[in-house]
Amino acid sequence: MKYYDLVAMQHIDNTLAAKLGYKKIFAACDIGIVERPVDRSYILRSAEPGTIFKALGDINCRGVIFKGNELIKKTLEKAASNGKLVIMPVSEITQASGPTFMRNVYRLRSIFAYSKKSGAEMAIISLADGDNGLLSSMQMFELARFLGANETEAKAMLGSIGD
Amino acid sequence: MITKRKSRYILVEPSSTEARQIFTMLEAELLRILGQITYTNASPKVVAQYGRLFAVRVNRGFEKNAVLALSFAHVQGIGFRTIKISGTLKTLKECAKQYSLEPDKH
Repeated sequence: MKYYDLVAMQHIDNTLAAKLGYKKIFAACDIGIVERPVDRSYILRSAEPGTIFKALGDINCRGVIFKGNELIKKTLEKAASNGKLVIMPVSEITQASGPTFMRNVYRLRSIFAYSKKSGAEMAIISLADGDNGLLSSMQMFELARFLGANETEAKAMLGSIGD
Repeated sequence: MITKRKSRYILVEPSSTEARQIFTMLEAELLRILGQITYTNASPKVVAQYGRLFAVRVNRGFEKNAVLALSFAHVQGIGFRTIKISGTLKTLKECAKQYSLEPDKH
């Protein structure tokens, strides 16, 4: 099975990707992560439910990252029906501590549970902004299981961003 | 009856080598993340160093907990990446040698 990751850094060396167990690590310059829909292939990261809902109908949108606390089931159902990825960045929990950590874990677990129920395709990424946030595929697999996935689902989540 | 301790060894790479007493602080950080009970059951301990990589020994059955805990562990702004899990240090040593030989332009 081939695993992929997406980081917030502008450039990443893919010999490091092979060492960490990935086929490829996508950098921010490979796939644009934007707050508003654009004309090229992108991943939307937004807290506004309306913007997300609209982007899910856009052919250029590859997936969405939910930034806010509001999670609307209709949005996830639309993601499922349109074949868009629901992307979960683990930097929200690996770089957090205390109450923020618990809140973000609850949020990501809810996103996972609702996405699974809706039938949406999911992906897990590190979204590391530096060296200290980079994780190996082994760690990402355990993090996917920590969020509620079984082994098969965890492997699928690690591979889906590369499709 | 004394039973043989069954261990697993995890090869870990820190994101930076510029930190003092990183191993002691890492063990304290793992205690904080795992909690007293799981930490006692897992007994993670840094046992060997191979260049910038190092090996952590954990009791068998707790290697996944340790891998997860290492994802959350940060010591002086340094993150930790797990490279390989093995039942013997010999395999890890060979893996560490291989890892260091491969060019890393990062």
